[in-house]
Amino acid sequence: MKNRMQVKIKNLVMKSPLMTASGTSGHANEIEVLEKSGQILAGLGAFVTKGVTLKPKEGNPEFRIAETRTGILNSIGLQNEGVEFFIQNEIHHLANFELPVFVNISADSVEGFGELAAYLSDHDSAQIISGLEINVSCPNIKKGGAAFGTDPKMVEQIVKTVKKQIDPRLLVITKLTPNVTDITIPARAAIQGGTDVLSMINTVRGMAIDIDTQKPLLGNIIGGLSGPAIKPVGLFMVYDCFRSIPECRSGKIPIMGIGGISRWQDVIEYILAGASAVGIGTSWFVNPDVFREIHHGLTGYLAGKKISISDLIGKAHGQLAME
Amino acid sequence: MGKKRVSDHLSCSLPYWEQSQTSVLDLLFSDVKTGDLVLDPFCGAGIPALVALQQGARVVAGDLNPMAVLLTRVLLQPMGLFALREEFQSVREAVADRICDRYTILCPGCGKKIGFEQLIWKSTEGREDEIRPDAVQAACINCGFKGTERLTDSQVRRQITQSRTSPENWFPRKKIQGTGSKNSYYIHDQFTQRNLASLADLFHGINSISMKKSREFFQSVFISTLFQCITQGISGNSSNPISDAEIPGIRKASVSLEVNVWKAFKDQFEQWMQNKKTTNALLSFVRFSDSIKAFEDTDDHVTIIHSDCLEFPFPQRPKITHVFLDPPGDQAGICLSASEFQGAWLRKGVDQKRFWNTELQSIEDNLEPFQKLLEKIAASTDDSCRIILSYRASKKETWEALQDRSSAAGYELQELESVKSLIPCRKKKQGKTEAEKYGFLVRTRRNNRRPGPEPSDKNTKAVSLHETQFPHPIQSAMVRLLSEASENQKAYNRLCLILLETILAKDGYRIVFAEPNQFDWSEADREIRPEALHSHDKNFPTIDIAAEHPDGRQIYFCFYDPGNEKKHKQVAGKIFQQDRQSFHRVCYLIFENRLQMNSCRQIEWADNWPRGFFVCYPDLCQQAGKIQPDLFRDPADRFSKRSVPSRKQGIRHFRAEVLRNSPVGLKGKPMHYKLEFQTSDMKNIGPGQFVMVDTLPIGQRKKMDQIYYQNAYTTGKNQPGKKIRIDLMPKSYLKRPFGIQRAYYHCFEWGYHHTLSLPPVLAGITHTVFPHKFEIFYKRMEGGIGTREMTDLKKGDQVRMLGPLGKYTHIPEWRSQGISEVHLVGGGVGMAPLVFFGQALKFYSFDLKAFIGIDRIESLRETPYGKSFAEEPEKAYVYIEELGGIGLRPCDIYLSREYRDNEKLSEKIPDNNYHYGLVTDQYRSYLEKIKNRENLMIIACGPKPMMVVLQRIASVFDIPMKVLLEKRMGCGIGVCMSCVCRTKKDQKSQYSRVCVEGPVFDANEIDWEKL
Repeated sequence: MKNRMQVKIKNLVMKSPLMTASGTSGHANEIEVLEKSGQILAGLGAFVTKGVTLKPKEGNPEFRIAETRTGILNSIGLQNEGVEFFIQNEIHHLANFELPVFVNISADSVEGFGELAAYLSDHDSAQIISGLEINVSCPNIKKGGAAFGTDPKMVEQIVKTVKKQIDPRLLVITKLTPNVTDITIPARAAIQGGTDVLSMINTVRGMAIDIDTQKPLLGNIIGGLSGPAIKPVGLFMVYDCFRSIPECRSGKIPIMGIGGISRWQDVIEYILAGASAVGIGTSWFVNPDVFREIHHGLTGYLAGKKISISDLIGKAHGQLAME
Repeated sequence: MGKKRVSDHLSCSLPYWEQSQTSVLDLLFSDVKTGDLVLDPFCGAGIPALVALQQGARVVAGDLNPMAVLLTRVLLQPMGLFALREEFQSVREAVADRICDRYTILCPGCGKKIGFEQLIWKSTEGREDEIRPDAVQAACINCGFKGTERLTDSQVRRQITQSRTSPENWFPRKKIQGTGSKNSYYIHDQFTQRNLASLADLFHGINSISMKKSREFFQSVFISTLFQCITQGISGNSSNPISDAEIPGIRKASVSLEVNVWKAFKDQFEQWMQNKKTTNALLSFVRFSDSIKAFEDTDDHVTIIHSDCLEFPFPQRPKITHVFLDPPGDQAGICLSASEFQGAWLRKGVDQKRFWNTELQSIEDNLEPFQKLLEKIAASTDDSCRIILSYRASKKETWEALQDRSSAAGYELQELESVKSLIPCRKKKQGKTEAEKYGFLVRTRRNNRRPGPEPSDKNTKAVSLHETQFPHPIQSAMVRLLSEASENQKAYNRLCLILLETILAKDGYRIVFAEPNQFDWSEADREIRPEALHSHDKNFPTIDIAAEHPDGRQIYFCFYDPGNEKKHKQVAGKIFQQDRQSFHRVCYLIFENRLQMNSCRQIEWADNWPRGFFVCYPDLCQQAGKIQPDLFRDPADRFSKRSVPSRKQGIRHFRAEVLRNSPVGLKGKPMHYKLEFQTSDMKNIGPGQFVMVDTLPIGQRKKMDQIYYQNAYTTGKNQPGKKIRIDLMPKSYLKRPFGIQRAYYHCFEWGYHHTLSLPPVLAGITHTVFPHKFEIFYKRMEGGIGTREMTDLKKGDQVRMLGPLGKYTHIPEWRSQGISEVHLVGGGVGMAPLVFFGQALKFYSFDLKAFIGIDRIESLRETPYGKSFAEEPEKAYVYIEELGGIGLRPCDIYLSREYRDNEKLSEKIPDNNYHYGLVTDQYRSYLEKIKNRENLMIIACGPKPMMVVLQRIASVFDIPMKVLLEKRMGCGIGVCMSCVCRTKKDQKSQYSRVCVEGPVFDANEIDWEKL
């Protein structure tokens, strides 16, 4: 029987368009502590790890999290044990998921990205990986991160470097920041650099102030806003890229839509706007059953309409195509 | 694929459901007599076990496959609907991690594990209707590899055999377009997770039906259908009484379980949807317990164990006379089909990395493990035990190889001639006659034939244990007793008594009574026989052991007998009635293993056991071993291994019902609230662990979503101006973490710790029923959103929670570290989780002192609320009541307040224990006063400055300290990394997650300078 949920990202066939969003499901097997982790994984099409850097990173000072209405501000600062630890101790757990795995990588220099890509593609146990997600958009680190993401030349250079160092088997995904005026500029730059897939959006910059202490609440002052609050932002950016960039339009460069998804309706919206797959992050904290619920909702919708996900991609642009 | 359906997983290779040739089995078991004990370690669906039972034997059956165990249970033992449901739940849980594993292969493309998807069938030239299986197709989701592997001849035969029994249109076949010229190829949707997954999925599907009535209805239909299919599968005709019932859809159920279950389910569902009136009639039919009454006579004769055969509990207490083995043959499915799970066992040691593991199918390649299995059996049974080997050898060489291996293991293989006559020889194309042999193995003189030195198998350790000379005469007596205990219930009881005597003697208790019928002292050594026992008062005629303390306290013990729960209930009720709150008489149940005990600790059962105190045998052994290591070392080691490890409980996302949510602090705006809720999903929560609580009740959050989405979607072109009121107040988004203040169960009334004084040694291994009511104490934050919403929770609201979270603190271990007194130091709401700590500590008979720091006493005043725990509600104070309830004396509670208010002091605690100022100052002056500062420990929770000061005090006085940290949290399970604190590891400062590595930390771990 045809799997209506099946989507194709380049050569990679995913059994469902749902993915974890980077940073919200740990590096490897952290979510297995949940009794129903099997159900969560069953609904997934791919697993995206938390950001990995070359050297261990201890992260930002406290507080690291603040709640907003229908969203959270976070400034973790990419806490992780470094790529070596990741390869040695964590990556093998990912094999158990039997899912394609995308590793989110981050660095504070162009060379750093290249080195990281080379390290991950050379290593034996990295066979499990299906692709790398280049994080040029994290708002919570001082060097690199969003500073790279807003500079189209930098984006192009980074993607080029990674593309050069990487095992050609692996997909290169570029995760873009929404903190720009026109998302299509860095998107075009990433395509110029040779990215296989675009993913958008990362968190939106924001802050919170504690009125008792009369000081910024987050230890890092700036945080990234995520959750349902940013869904319209992400949705438009996906729409915009799909509309304005011919490569995306023709399906040559698929888009992964991320940002504020909490219900299956949101997934459909993203798909209609032009995304081929979607990442779900923050709402997972609120409701650990969200993957199962969304998967259930989606299959119901698709069966009712007798269509599959791949028929829906970019359908919201139908009329525009006539122009 | 649309909605995931059960039929997607259906398999056509189902050895379990086949009609079995019981006539062959009758012959195989022809020498089984009444009273024999037959062991069937790979029972499958239990048909051989049934035949053995019919011969009058007692049967011990087991299987690795939980589904098989369940089926055997359904087949052989009467089972209630509830028990079946529970079984299914556990099967479903086990399916994912253990069974599905067996049906995966490695993709040659990327090397990852994938499941094989399709079986391709090929038609013979020119004859479209005669098709046979040809290959297995696998598709890799990772690298996109698609490949087919031709089946070997034996696999083809096997598939044919199995498909023969299947209905004509079992699966919709699909012709593959554009393949080959002469042969047509067909694809059958084939298994990835096979029968278990499909059944479990189906059952899960039924479970997720939201309407309770319909859900229960389908559960009943499902289970009764399952039962019917099995019974009909055996008898092979429709003589079964059930089939005469007027149930369309399931009446014709005959051969295949899956097809029928699924069809019946679907039919019933459709019918039910059309006409809901039929429900009642059907429900009355499916009370199938009457139908399985026929099996009730055999109830006492079967034990069915879910177990890996490697860990099969040898030796069984009774003497095993027959072991039934059906190793994988090259031709499966006709008589006793090869069990894959047995194959999986035999596969151990074989290279699993091959694409298609043909070894699974043939015994020739598995002779080595086969021999090991025989040796294992030989080591744990005696010489008269016979192994019935049901194997159809098609090759002479195989038969001979089997003979060799058997003799190497100390067995002689003999052919069963009588079976030969039953099965006609088939001729192969080449003209060779196929030899079909059934054999049984007779133990030859083991000592003569056994090659080389004793293998280092753990089972042979038992043998060597006997031969070793122990220095202590009692110890060798213990060993003898131990080996007896493994065979004889009375000897086992005797051992328990000796263990108890040792344990209780430490706290001054003396065994005063032992029910003579339960013990057998005839052969016991004099050294270990207890002194002559007093007669016992006749109030409690069903007690097995009674112990008494000089001060009059009494402890009773019963051996748990699963078949005699009624007796236990009576005892429990009687003692509860007499004892109530005095706790002068405490009754214990002794369980054989922890699994059994935990199943009894469930709330459903505990209702019948109003004052539940439980101990399990392995714990007794360990504790006795600690007290007298020289006497109990070896036996304790061996017996604690016998216990089945309890399954680790994962974190659950569950709903809880609010019982009350009452403000604390009378005047002005209350800042503190006590929230009480009940749920049955939070078993095993330990002190220090916490839950993430959703601040809005379930309905309200859903409603909020609906309003939001209605607003977003319905203000389209056709519906202008539909006004929807939207609450613009900020709403919380994340769940909030809270430590438990108290957990309880209604039969343990408030304050029972006052009088309950278990002997510490016994308390360390005592368990009560799982609690199901919990209480948290929280502060409404000024300007906070979440806690403000929480204050609106009402009685009856359902709230979502995630838990239990955090590391489990194993408190009995502290005793072995030499700690006997614990000081709880809490600031403000930080005291709440410490109360829970105190509850557990008091249960394990630690001494406790509590130091409470608050801003003003008034904020602790409880609002009179219905039936309060306090005797005088208007004088009740939070913490003081709670700590009193868990057994602290008033002089053990200290209280400091920062503000001098007019509130009258609580009369509950002495005036000297009040202090104006900080709790740390009070604690420091207390420490200076006392002389003996050994065996102390501090547990602290509160604001950061308090903890820092307290840590300094602890290091000055050199007292070990634990801290319970509270942080802002995002996920609670360790993925978001927001709840970090500074810790030291190897002199290096780093961030640790409070929700995973904590929340209880050792004070030495924390980096206090940077905290």
